[in-house]
Amino acid sequence: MQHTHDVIVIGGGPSGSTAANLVRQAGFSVLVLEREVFPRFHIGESLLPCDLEVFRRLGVDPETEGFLHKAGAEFLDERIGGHTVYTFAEGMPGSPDHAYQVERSKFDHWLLNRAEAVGCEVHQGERMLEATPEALGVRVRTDRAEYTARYLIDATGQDAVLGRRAKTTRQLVDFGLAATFAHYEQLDPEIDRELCVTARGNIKVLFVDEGWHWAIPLGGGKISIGLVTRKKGIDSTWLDQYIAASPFLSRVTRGAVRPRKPGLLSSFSFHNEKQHGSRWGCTGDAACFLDPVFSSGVSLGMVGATHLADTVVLALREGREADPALLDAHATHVAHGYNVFATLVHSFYHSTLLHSLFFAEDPDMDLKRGLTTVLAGDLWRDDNPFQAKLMASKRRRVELVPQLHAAVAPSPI
Amino acid sequence: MELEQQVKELIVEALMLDDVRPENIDAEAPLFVTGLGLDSIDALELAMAVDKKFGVRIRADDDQNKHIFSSVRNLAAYVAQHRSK
Repeated sequence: MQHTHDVIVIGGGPSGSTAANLVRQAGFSVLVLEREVFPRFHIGESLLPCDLEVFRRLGVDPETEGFLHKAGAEFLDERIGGHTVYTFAEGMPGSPDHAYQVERSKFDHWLLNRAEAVGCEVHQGERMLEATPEALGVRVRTDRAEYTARYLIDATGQDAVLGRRAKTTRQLVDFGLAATFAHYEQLDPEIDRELCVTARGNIKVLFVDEGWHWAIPLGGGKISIGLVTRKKGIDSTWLDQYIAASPFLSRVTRGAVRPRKPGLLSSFSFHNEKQHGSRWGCTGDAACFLDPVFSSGVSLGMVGATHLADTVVLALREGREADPALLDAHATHVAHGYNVFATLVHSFYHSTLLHSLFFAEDPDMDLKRGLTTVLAGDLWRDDNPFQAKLMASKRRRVELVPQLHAAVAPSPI
Repeated sequence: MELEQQVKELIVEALMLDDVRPENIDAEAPLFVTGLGLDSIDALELAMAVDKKFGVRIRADDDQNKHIFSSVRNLAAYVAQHRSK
């Protein structure tokens, strides 16, 4: 089969752009097919420190774009006057010490432009209709043309096109069930300063009845506010009601402008049980999305894409890309990260553990350090006692296991 | 209420043991591994709940922990000795 490209990446979000960029940098031709025309609105504005290494490999520097520094995360429970600050710099030795808050329209566009700058062919506004992996190559038909490649990467986000067509996505019903959210602009300059400078760009997570809020400062007088709940029947009027009920959120948004009405999402938590096969692999949300609470989505998507790209590049060099078990070790490695966060998210919704840890009068600093390191997305180290204890807890441990193809399962780290 | 009963209720409540009734917990049976089958994160969570309710600090890595958490009876005895609430 003659191939138009070595690799086709479907979806130009952060995970797709990361994979495309790295495969192209290794010398292979890459086509990125993005359905939308960037910039476009997206939620999930909070990154984790584990992304810093990814940025370095992509050849980008978030500082030059003026993205807001995020020093850590704050947890609030206004019902009991609880407030605690987790600062990434106070994590375990060697753990990266800051992250960024990013307006996704700008961030995703920037990463996609970078992929194009390193030589990827990027088609925006082109919709994939069909993708068929065959023995000798992958055929992709779009609303404009037909392409063939040696390898296909599904980075279609929540659409998870391959997984949903094959019916291999499974809803995760123990986590947040629905969210309503909006951006607020033209914040009072004093408030903006308080959020970005005094509070060092921290994300705020507020515990409320029936759920929790995120409040993510974006700099330039903007903030993203969302409500996630396990209660049924949510509609977009809830956001105003909940904001009015929170002294902090009403103070922050006083006099601010909301350019569009609140968005609404549900059933966003799922695990794709078949994430790879012969000549294809999934990355980012197309493989799994847990819950927004610890901002793991974009970061696991980018870290996972890095690992996937490295595996695929080696295989392309050696002509092994048709091996259905090619991504077994990759999937196991990435699943480890998802499982640590899944277990933490499960504890968040179904136990008092995190609430007690966050709002203890005199917290155990070793535990706090370990939890900070997990919150930084620094999950592939074997010296974090908190993570070890958490994952040893049979009652709490969540184990999402992607289907593997080889007879012998690889080790997760 | 008897302290042992309060401790049993605290265990069920703090650890959200939906399928366990406080009165069915044997005061002398081991809480960890066998018995209720609790683990070290449960110990941590229970320690925080004991602190909140009785004002008794039990450090996560305290060597005495094994003894204190070995049964409802020992935990209640420790609380009775050290409680400030």
